[in-house]
Amino acid sequence: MPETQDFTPETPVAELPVEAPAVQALAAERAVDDITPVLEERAAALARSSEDDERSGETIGMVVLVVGDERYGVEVQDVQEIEPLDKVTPIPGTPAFWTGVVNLRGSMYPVLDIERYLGLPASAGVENPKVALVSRGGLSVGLLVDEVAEIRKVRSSEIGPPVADGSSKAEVVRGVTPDMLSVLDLDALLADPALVVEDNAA
Amino acid sequence: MSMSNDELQQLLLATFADQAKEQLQTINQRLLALEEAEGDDKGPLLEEIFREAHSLKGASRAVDLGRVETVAHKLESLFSVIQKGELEANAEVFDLAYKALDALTALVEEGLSGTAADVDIDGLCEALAAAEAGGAVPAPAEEQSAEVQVAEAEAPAEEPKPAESAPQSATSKPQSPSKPKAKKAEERDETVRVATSKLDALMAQVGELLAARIGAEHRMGEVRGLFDSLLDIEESWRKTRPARVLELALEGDESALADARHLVEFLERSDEKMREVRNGLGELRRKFEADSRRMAQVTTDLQDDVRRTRMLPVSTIFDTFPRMVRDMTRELSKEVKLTIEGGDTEVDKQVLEQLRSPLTHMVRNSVDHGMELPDARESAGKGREGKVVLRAYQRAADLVIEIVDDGAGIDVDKVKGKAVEKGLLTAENAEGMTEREALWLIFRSGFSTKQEVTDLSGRGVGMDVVREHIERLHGMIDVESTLGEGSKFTLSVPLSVATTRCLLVEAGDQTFGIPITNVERIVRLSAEDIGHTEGHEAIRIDERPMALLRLGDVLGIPTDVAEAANQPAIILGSADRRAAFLVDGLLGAQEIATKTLPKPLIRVRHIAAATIVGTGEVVPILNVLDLLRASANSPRPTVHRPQKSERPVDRGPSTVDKPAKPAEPAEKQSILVVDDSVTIRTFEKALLEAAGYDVTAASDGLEAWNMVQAKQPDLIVSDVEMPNMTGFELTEKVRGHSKLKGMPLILVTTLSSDEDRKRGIDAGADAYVIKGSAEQDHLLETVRRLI
Repeated sequence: MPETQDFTPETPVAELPVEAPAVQALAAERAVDDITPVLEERAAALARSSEDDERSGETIGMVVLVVGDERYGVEVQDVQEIEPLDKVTPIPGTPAFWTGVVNLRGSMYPVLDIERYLGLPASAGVENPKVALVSRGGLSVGLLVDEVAEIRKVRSSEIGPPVADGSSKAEVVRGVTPDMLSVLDLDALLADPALVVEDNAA
Repeated sequence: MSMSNDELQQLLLATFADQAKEQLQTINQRLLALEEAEGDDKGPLLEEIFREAHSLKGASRAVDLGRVETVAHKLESLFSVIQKGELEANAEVFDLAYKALDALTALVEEGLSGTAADVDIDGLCEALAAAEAGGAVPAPAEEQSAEVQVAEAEAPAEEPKPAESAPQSATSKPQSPSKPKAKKAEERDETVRVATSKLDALMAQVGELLAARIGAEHRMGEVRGLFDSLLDIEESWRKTRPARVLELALEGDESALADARHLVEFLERSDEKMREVRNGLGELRRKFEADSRRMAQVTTDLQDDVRRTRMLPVSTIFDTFPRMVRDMTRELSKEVKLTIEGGDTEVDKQVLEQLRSPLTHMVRNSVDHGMELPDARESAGKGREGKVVLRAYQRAADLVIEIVDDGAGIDVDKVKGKAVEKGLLTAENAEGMTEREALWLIFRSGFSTKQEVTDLSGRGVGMDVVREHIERLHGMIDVESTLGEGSKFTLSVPLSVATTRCLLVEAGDQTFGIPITNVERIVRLSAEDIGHTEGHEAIRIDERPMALLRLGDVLGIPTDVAEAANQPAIILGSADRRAAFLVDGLLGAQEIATKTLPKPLIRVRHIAAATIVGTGEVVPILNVLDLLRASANSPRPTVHRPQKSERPVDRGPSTVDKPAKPAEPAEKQSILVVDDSVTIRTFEKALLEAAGYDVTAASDGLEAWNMVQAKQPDLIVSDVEMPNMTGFELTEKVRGHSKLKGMPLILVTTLSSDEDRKRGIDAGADAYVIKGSAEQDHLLETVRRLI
């Protein structure tokens, strides 16, 4: 292709990162109080826990999903919507962890029984289960949960290695926070080949 | 090169490709016309060909497709010479021009996909130049000036190259398609060009929806007002403490009397208020009813209009056939005139795409196999030129395409012989076959093979593959043929794949849809209909044994373990396979918009798709082929009647020691369904059979007339517009017959004008049912009323 075909306008000037006011203020404070290392340390910690952390992605907004006795965290931006489970249609010939298919505003989504999928001991279940619709890489799946407890922030440094919780799918849990919130790895979960039903042998 | 530029280039290319395809198609059509044209008619055609080639050349240069430009340029020069009368276009020139068009088509695709096309540009250009020089000596200067002249008028800035140097420079650097293009090609999204008028219609519907939304907001306010009024009444009621006041008053408390009077006043007041609330509610209900009617109308229209945006005229495919037939006739030394009718009939783009290959094959067949050589035709007393008619029209929700030829026709005996030879049936069976059944053998899998198909109609596609293609579109195919006179293939497919007519059934507590085209009939079995073979159940329908399965079992759904008898059974068929499936309930038929199952449920056994029904529930649509495969895995269905004695039963392959009773009791009322659309015929048949009638079918008025004379049904349900004999004519015939004149007759039709209705009633029909969404209920109701 010849260069004459190049119609691209000049590359737009990239937005330069501007330091947040809070950080600037703290830096100023630090300059004055440099004789007090304690304050300096605190300032640094404060700065980290606010703007810096936000920008470097070190705290993560988490939707807390309750399944039986377990609590699972899913990043806020991956959750499209949360709806009460209404009229799910089981699809014969699919693994038992596929509860079925639901209609959410005219589109159909598969519903994954996360408890069965993770191989957790069966809980009593609740009267009004919910569906949390999560999306990654063009795939949208409704997670069947008992309850959506809250939305909270989790510092990524807090997430420790996964602990054995009787789940048969340890690889889809990214880690566990000190208060026992298991953080789901949606990439790993939605890419699990076991989810795919492609029965060509019929 | 940055992404956005790449994207722009891709966009330009896509636009160019659309335009180029149209231009090439136009040139193709004009060439075909030119070949037939005489004298003065040629001028405008030549002018148009020249202009299109020229504009294609310019456009290809704009998107930097040098290879397209080179060929387009040569074609343009050739026609410039012809236009000036310096060269007479003979058959060879036409052949070459067509070849150039094919090359251009491939090169445009190459530009779009980035996959190099196998085109010998140098060879082609040489041939074009040679042809150009073959006439009166072309003066290069003149030629060039002619070109520049036009070019200057149209796009002066874009005509810098002299005519002769352009091809060389372009051919010397065959464009190596760049990688990003190839990558984009994989992701290329299908596009449909939509007329602005169609979009305007959509916008109008959306406007209606907005009005409905505003209406709904108003209603919400009204509901809130009524709710508040009720709260007011309730609160005032509580404040007057009626129970306490009455109690005190009854006890004779003097001071309570004043309160009691207040209470009476309050009751009178609230009576009035309650009346207001009730009136308000009544008003609201009326408004809601009006709203919901209007919403129903708007959403239906919107659905139709959206569907319409996906519609393309069948000419999109048909227009490629004249050229194909022309090439074939030259190669085969035949003389064939192809006539196209109804090219403007519109059909869903997706359906159209899937019709391309079977139609191409069938048109090729009719020229290659169907048509005799000119001499043979002459000695058979026909004109030397054979006629092939390709006809499209719409019937109800079906697209019907007919391919009619006046060729040699199909030799039924030969077909039978070949089928026997291939082991598709025994000579004995062949003997007993009707002509129609024998013709149908050509659609059987394994009937035609690659080796036997000639090069021309080849590509390894036999009629069985054509049939599969059509069935995949939930369509039907049929053939009629008279030896020595010609053949007629008729195929009908739903206009849109987006909606399918489905029968809704229950298995366990779940609902499933089954495409109606696969439902051969619905029967209610009695205990004696069901036989057993090695522990498996089987039944006989029309003397054919077939496996009987429980739908729930096949799908792995727990169902009530009920007796098979008295349960409805659905006979499903596709190609040669059929089997009966017991269901727990029938919920009626519906027009359904099917969707594929959501990812990652890519292919689920027994489930073809799903749909969202009116209640918002998801209903799976069954995959009939899978179900039939499941039935094939059960033992070969040899059926016998339950025996009182326990003597062993003959288990020959298809022998049955005693014929079982027919599945349906003899005292059923009989109905003859007449419709030339297979889909409608099948649907009406299934519907009426489900309602407990014994149904036979005829494909037109004439067939029906012959049938009723042989065996009189209790009632006739007939379409109006049919070949051979219309529904009106059939009605008149029936009414005019001494014995048949009292037979009830219902006309079912899309013709809904008062005049049509009057004509139907004048002809003597007992009822006139308009095809539409309410058709099934209305039809059944009318039938029940009449017999």
